[in-house]
Amino acid sequence: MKKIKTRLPEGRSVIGVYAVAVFLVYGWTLMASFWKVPSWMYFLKIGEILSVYAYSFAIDFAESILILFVMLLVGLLLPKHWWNDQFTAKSVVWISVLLGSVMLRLYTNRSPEFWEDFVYNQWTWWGYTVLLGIVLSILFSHVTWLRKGLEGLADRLVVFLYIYMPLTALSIIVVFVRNIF
Amino acid sequence: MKQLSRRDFLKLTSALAAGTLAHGSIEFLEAKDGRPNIIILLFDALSANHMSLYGYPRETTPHLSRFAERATVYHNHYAAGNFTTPGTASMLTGMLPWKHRAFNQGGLIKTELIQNNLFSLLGSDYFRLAFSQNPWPDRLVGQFHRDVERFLPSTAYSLRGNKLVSDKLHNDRYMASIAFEEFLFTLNTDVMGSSLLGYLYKTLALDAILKTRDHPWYPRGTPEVEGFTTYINENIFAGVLRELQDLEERNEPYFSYFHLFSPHFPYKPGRKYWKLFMDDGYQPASKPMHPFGFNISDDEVLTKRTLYDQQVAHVDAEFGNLIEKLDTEGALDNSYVVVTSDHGEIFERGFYGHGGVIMYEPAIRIPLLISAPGQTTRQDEFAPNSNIDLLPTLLHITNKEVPSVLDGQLLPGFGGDEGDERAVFSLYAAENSVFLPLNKAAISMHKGSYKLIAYFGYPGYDGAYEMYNLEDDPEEIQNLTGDEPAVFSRMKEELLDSLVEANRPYEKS
Repeated sequence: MKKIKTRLPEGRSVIGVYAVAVFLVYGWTLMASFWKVPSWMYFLKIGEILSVYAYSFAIDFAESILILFVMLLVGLLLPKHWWNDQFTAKSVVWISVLLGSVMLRLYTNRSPEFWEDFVYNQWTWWGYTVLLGIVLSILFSHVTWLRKGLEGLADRLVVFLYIYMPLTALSIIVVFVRNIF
Repeated sequence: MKQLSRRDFLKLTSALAAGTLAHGSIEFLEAKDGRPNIIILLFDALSANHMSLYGYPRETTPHLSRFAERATVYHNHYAAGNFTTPGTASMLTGMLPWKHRAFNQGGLIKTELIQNNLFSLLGSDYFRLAFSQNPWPDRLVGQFHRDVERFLPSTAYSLRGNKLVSDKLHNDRYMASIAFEEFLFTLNTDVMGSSLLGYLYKTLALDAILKTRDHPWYPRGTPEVEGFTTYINENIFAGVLRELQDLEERNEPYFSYFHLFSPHFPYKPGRKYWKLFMDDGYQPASKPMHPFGFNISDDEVLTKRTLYDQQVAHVDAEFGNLIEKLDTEGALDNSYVVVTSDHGEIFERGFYGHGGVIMYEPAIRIPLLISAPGQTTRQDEFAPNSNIDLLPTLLHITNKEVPSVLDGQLLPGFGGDEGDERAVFSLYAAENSVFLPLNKAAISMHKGSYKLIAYFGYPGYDGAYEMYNLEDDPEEIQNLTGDEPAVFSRMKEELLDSLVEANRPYEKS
């Protein structure tokens, strides 16, 4: 346990990386909800719409934690100088590339005519995504001002945690209450 | 004196009921704790205009016709809405859509009114089962899930299961359904609300759907529920049979509501039916394109119609098998069997399907057959009535109080009025907020043999009316608004008065 602890990046970096994950995951949900809100307003009361957001934030929380966990796990498994020495930059690059890829694919494959392509062309898509991730990862680790820029970005995005985390806590309570009573 | 066995008692009471039927009025049977069972079999998007039972030239429903020989058959029964949500909500609440307010796509019944539903009003002395393959009625029933003892997931007996909402979040089924099925993990063309988990879900769900898209029994592909779930009718009907057999085992009266998806689009009939009616020479009446139609050619519409008719024939055959098995097992001896739909399906005027600003007969005229326990003769009812009438009728049959808030009334044959002075309304208002007065809607009103269609709020069509005399013109071709101004004026006034009354609670003071 102690060994694992020593291999974990410092707390400030972890929070910064988590903030990036939260910013992207919650941001996507909010953006997607803007398509739906006009139709919800036709038949749902404000409280009901907020309940949908409560479920959404609960799921987003699970997603963001999962992403952070994967980044930490990679840091534990890979040699320190490959990942944890530049934990923030590497994690931010990979989170952005992987989530960006997920979002782009979700956005462009909505129609049923693309379903087969969506399901059966995963390898090609993710092959290119991983390639892009490796290239950007190398680039950002070698260009200092880029790396510093990412670290600065992660640091500034922490402010969103002050908004999303209390809302998430409230959301989880709402979900529990709605399903208990 | 030898004691009567339960079965003997049922037989005796069935015979008595048959005797009463022969005299033209139906007296309900009392057994199984003094109450008969009720089985509702609802076939989504089944139009009465496409059933040979109601005179359609293609032989689509021979089994339902046979069943009709022991049932009360309603010839002019109308859904209160022209798509699933308002149609089903009206049937379940006995209220018109402008009162219960579930008239948007996937909408909900007004919270203040949800206790007035079929399940709650029948009460806990019935064991109540609900199964809707269509997710929208599933959501409606989810609003009163506490009054349903057995509430199957909408994917039950399908080829792909998704029980997250029904099993894990059942206490909040209707809101969880909106959050998960319509937003976070939606498979429709909207942007998915969840990114990472949504992606994983979409990959797994689509993989399951694509793998089951081909089925040896279905040459046009496996039937689907809105692209979310694949199913085969044989499994669904076997599931219905199994559920009913289980209910029969219970020593208490039961109410079961089966909302089955077929013959809803996409039309994918089984192998035995996929070539039916092709090149049979049937040519429906040609009608002008409707401004709210898709402008599809008559030939293409006819092709779609034929696919639909094949699907209807398949469903009819499955229904025949089910009824035969239930009959053999004696499960119908003490049960009212109700066969109906939530709305119709239309193939004319450059349009096919349902919903939309189309209120012609095939879109809203639906079947209604009610077979009483032990009924052996057919009774036909021709007065126009509505699917909001089913709830009060079933409450009457089961000796329950009918709340005054309901708009529906008793059906003819069960104590209801057979006169033709009643106005029967159907509504399309999916583009109208439920919190505002109806100002964008299409409304039809049947009265006697006349039918008025009114359009409100559609640019270029606002305040437009059509009126038909269905007795002389069942195809709705001759608009009589100019030819019969007195009737038109009277009908219009009544419709507008009703609309003003319905809008009153939503008008800003």
